This record gives sequence, C-alpha cells and structure tokens, in this order.
Amino acid sequence: MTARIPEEYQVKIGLEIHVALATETKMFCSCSTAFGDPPNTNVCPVCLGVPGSLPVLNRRAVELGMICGLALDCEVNPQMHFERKNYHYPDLAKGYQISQLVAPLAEGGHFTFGVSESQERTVRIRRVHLEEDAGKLLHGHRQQTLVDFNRCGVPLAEIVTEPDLHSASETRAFLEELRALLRAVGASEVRMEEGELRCDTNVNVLDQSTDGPKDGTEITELKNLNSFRGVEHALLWEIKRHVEALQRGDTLTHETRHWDEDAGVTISARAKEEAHDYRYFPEPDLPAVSLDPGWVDRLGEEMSETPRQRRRRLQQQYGVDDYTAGVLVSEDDLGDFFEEAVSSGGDPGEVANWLMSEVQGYLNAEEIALHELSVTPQQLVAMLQLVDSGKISGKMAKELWPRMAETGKDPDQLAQEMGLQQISDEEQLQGVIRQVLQEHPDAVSDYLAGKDRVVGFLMGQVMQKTQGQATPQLANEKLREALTEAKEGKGEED
Amino acid sequence: MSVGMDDVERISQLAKLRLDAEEKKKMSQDLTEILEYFAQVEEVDTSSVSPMFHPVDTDNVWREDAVSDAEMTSEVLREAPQTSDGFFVVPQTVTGAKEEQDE
Repeated sequence: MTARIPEEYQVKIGLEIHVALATETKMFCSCSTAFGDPPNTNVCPVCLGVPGSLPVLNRRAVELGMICGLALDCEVNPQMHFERKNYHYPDLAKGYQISQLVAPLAEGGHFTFGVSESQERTVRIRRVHLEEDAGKLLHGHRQQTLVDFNRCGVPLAEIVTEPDLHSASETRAFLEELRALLRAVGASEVRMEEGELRCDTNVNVLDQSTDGPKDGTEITELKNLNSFRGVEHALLWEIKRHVEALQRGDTLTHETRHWDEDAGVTISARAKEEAHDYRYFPEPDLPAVSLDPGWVDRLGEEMSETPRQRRRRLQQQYGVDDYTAGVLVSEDDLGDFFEEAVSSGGDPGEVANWLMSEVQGYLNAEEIALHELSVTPQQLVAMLQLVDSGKISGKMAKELWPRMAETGKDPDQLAQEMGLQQISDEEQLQGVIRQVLQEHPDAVSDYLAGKDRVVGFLMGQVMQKTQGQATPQLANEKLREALTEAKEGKGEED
Repeated sequence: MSVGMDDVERISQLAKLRLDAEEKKKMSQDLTEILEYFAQVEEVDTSSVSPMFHPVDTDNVWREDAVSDAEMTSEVLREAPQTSDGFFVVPQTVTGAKEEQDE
C-alpha cells in the first residue's frame, strides 16, 4: 500500500485532535462523564439543551485544558471566552456546540517527539481550545437512528497542529507520544477504546520541483479517526491517492473523506455537506474567563515530568540507551516499575532487560496490563539477585518468572517449591564429575589422546546427572581441573 | 443593507426552516429593515473603545467538578415522540452502504 513518493514531492499533514479531559462531570453541568452507563442516564436540562437552562463552566475542565496547553509549550491566554458553533444534527439537541474561536484557551506551542531511535521531530501547535462533546448515534436500526446523550457535554480539549508532519508513520509516532504526554501530565486518561482521543487529519501533497505540472493537491480532510492504526492506514491510502493524482497532473478537490476500516479505503463524504457555515457568535450564557497568571504558573510548576524529559533523565540517571528509555516511557507504569525496582537495589540494565523481554512477553501473552500484575518491583529484584548470587541460573529464572507472575509468591520460596536450585557446592560437583569420568573411560582416553572436543560431551553428562542444576561455569571449571589432574596423573605413570 | 432572496434561502436552509414564497418575501423585507435599524449603531465612533465580548461585566463564574445526578431519564424520554430501550429514536441520519455493515 505504501506509495513510492518522488523526492520532489512533500507530504503535508496537520491534525485536529479531540481529547476527553479527565473530569468527573461534564463541561457545563454536573452530569457524570462515566463511560458505558445505560443510555441517557447521565443527562439533565443543560446537556439536553432544554430552553431556559443555563450552562455553568467546570473549573477543573479549564484547569486540565491549561495543563494540556502548558504541556505543549503554548501561551495560555489571559482571557478566554466561548462561542456558539451552530449546526443541526441529532447528536446535539440544542442546535449548537459551545466551543472557542476568537480567544481560545492557549496558542502558539510546539511538541517534540521521537520518530525513531535518537531522532526527534518538532511540530508546531497552533492552538488548544475547549469545547463540549456531542452525543452518540447508533445507525442502521430498521431505518432508524438511536441517540444516547450521555457523552453530550463531556469536556474536550481540541489540539490543532500546524501542517508539520510529513508521513503516515511520523503521524502515528506523534500521536503515540502525545497520548503518553497527556496521560503523564494527567490531562486525560486517553482511553482509546472509549474514544477519548479522536483525530481529524488534513493532508495534501506539494510538488516542489519548478517544472512539475501542478504545485500541489487540494487538502483532504479525514474525519473522526479513533485509532492510531486507523490514522496510519488512512493516511497511507490517501497519500498514495494524492501522489498518483499529482503525477497525472490532477490537483483533486478540497473535500472531506471517511476511512472505511473494513474496506481499507477512504470514501468521499457526500457533496450534500454543503459549504459549512457555523455562524459562530459569542456565547451569551457564559461570561468571559480570566486565567490568572499566578494560577497558570502554579500549574506549570506542579506539572509532572513529560515523557520526553523522563526519557532524557532515565538515560542520564541510569545509563540506559535511548531505545530502552523510549520503551520505558511509552507507558507511565512501566517507567514507574523500573524506577522502583532500581531504587530497591536492582541493576538498571538487568531490570530493563527483564521488563522488555520476559515481563512484557508475559503481559502480552496473558493480555493484561502491568498494573494487573501481582509481582512487585521488589520481587523482581529479589529474583534477579537469586541469579546474581548463583542460587538459580538465568534459564531457571525464565522458568520461575511465569509462576511468580501467576502466584505472586516470593521468588525464594517459589524456587524451593519448584526444585529450582543451582548446585554451586564444589565438593558435591566434584563428586558428580568423578562419577561421570568413571562411567565414560573412553571419553577420558580420547581427551588424553588430545581430543579436546569430548569436554563438551562430558559437560553434558554432568548437567544431565544434576538435572541441569549445576552452575555451568563452576561445573566447567571443576571438570577441566579433574581432566587436567587425570592428564598429569597419566604423565607421571608414563 | 439589504437581505435578498438568495440570503433568505440560504439562512432558512441553515436554520432548517421551510418557507413559502410569501414568507420569504416578508422575511427579506423584515430582515432588511432590522439590519438598517441596527446600522445606525455604526455611526457611533468606537475607535477609542475596546471590544466587549459580553454585556455583563463579570468573569469566572464556575462550579466545582462534583457529580450530581439529575435522575430524569424517564422524564425526558417521556417527552420524546419515539424511544427504544432508553434511546431517543430519530429518522435515519446516514444512508448508503456503510450502515448496512454496522447492522
């Protein structure tokens, strides 16, 4: 599906991202924002648009919106106000959405994110404004549409970028890191499965060569993509369409298209969507909002570390590489688990390796999240210390780990129960080795005749006799000692 | 300033109002008169006045983020012409192939 894009072509992508803010109640009324409640149970005259009802702004929504803006390096406007955006559609009973046009919450920021190992890119943020979500429509029920207003009025931050993204994969990387950022600073839970992040993308392709037939294609708007995979696939498809159009000298028309996930294509929204005229005007029911600089400063100071800052710090503080740091910050709790494990005595490299291999492997296989795991960071460290001290082997640890994860038991106790214990006792090992040498006199003669290869065979016998519990290094050492002794003994005989 | 028939046509479409020829003509006249009346305001020199966004000189009216359940589901559904399992039912908003797949 990936289009071969001529070098002189430049893909330009801008995003409008709607994020549900982590409030308990709606933007302008005290109805719950809970997801998944029975239809139309979290509604009141305000969010249903009953004439005579009046909206009252949720202070926490403003605060979370400011945190969004600050996290994206925007300037918070000292005063903001709301506008009505008028349109008629059954998902919005009052016939207009309360949004912000002229004086939004915050403007003029930027966001730097990682596109690949040790490569970063910066996207300018045009603005962050507050608005209310619409209700949910269920289509296709015997020529009917069903309406649930529970979501109507849920506070959203709309983040608008400049068209600074240049590929589908880069856009996906941007969104993934934006999600991590918003979660880290607590602005939103960003539960994708609940539609807490939805994205409109604007894309076109420019021909930068002077002798091309046309300068570029008209912008296509792709509406309401609610998964990162959807965004990436829709963009790949759409970029290909634009590149091919440009190559045959076509500039396409400015239009809105929808991504059909099942068919894997974008479809033109019907032309019936006549030129929008939202007739914005100041919302008379809401007075202006002054955002006190002291309030803004305090939020800025209290703001949690951003994933980018944390990635840097993890590298500096613990010496992990860029890739590892990137994985650790991709989910908050992975980084937290890591830091807790290291602070209780774990080696940063070992802990990180285990988290990224065995631990994540287990989580993926069981389809659970890290916070659902019953193993504590301290228990993981205790297990790694069993390996370090030679009590169990690395291989045994991999056997022990899934049982730990299932039971939540301490590694020490569990290793005993499972009979996982390395034999590190020299005398015990020497006894086993003597026995092996006695049982395989031919191999010993071969060795004395200069065939070094048989050492591997004899080592195998030692491991078999100890059911794999011999400490390999020590066993190897002792075996070589015994063989050298045999050689010397033979030399004396001669 | 005059509001022509084209303007009336477009505004009535946006407002989802169906007007007959007679009404359109009356609207055109009325709206023109209203706008001419308001146009007198433009004669005032406002160059030294800063813009006002709201007639009431107050700001920061808000509430804390605490849930209070209006408990009015059955009450509001009772007002609707048609409902189904707690949903409002409205005429189909989307036509075409897509929603057949959704079903």
